[in-house]
Amino acid sequence: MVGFLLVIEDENTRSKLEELYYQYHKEMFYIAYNILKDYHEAQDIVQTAIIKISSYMDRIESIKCNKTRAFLVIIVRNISYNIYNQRKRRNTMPLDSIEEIVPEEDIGPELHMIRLDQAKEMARLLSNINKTYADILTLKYFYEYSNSEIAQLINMTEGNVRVKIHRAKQALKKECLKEGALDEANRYGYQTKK
Amino acid sequence: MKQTDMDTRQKNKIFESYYGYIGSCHIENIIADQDNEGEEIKEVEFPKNIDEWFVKFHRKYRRKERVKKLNRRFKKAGCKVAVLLLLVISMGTVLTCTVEAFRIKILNFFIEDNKEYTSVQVKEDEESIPDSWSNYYYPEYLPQDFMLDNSEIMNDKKILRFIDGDKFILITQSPNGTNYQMDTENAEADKIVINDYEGLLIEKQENTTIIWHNEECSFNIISNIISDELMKVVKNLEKR
Repeated sequence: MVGFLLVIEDENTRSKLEELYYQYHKEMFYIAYNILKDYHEAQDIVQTAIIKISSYMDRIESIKCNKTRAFLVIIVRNISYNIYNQRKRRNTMPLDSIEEIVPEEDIGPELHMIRLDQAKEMARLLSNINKTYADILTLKYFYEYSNSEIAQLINMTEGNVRVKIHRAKQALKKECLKEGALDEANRYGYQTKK
Repeated sequence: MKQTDMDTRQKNKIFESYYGYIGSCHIENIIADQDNEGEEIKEVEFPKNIDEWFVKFHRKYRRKERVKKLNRRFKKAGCKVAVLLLLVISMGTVLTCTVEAFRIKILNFFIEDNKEYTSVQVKEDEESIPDSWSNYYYPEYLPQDFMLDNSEIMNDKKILRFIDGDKFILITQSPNGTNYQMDTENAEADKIVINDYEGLLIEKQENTTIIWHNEECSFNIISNIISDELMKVVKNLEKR
């Protein structure tokens, strides 16, 4: 009886991964191919992404939903960016020197940044500055993955993830100030950090 | 906790929620972008060998998942079994301490110490030779499951009875010169040699009788086991 139940449970898990693959495999391949313009590398990216995501299947509640679809897009495109950067040797700055430029303390929370009505625009602006910043911020605060999990998912070091989250927050702050949120905040009497 | 620390923690929570909300908006943007490219995605030429790879990978993945699940189940069951065992041991201890009948049963677990090891063996209530006995012969070999049922002295005869169900071995030993009377009517009698001494083996119906003597004692052994086994018992009588 236990064996039978085990098989049933296992069938459910199997269909979840299979469903995910057959639902999104074309889209995953398309994203990777668009970035890398290489048929074989795009194949590798799809395989890598599936292997990585299979370790987190218990965190995926539903397959046919925007949350899961966007999650796959984020994973595939960030793995692709990393491969692209490696290929083009763009990412030449060693991690140690990247970490040096990050101050010890995080950016202080400043209430003037919060404008819920502008959040969608902020997300768009952040994505325009650097898609990876927006993606990692989303993985961290929306999907609630830890830094080490994000690092494992998108083939990055944990230190690099931390740096990118920090930079994403800095970029958001800059955009907020640029967009006049500062004036709004002042109008409502919030104190701003100088 | 200082007020400023509490304020910072609260603000951090607010900002984490805000970043989460930006993430949610980012997802909407991603989906919108992907939907715009919907037609191109549909038309993409997807390599078939990834499907083949996936089938293999999925098989391995299923196997791993099954092992993981089994491990989880065993861990859970292991905890339950440990608790159950602890309960049984606790109950057994309490019963042993409080109920005499139970204590007797438990103490029948006979603990025997050896030099290299300690063996624990459950024994039924076996008769033992009285301490007052000396200079008697005892079989060092007994067929499996035979145990001493009775030991008694009648005049100068020492009698040992071993049983295993309805099988028995009756060993009577006495100083030389004791008279034994045997029923040999319709019986087969053969001369035998036991440890260099002559003896007589009499088989009648289901019973076998062996009579022999050494320089000290005369023996009369009666049994309903096969004569070969009985011979082994007789040959292995040792003085104690």
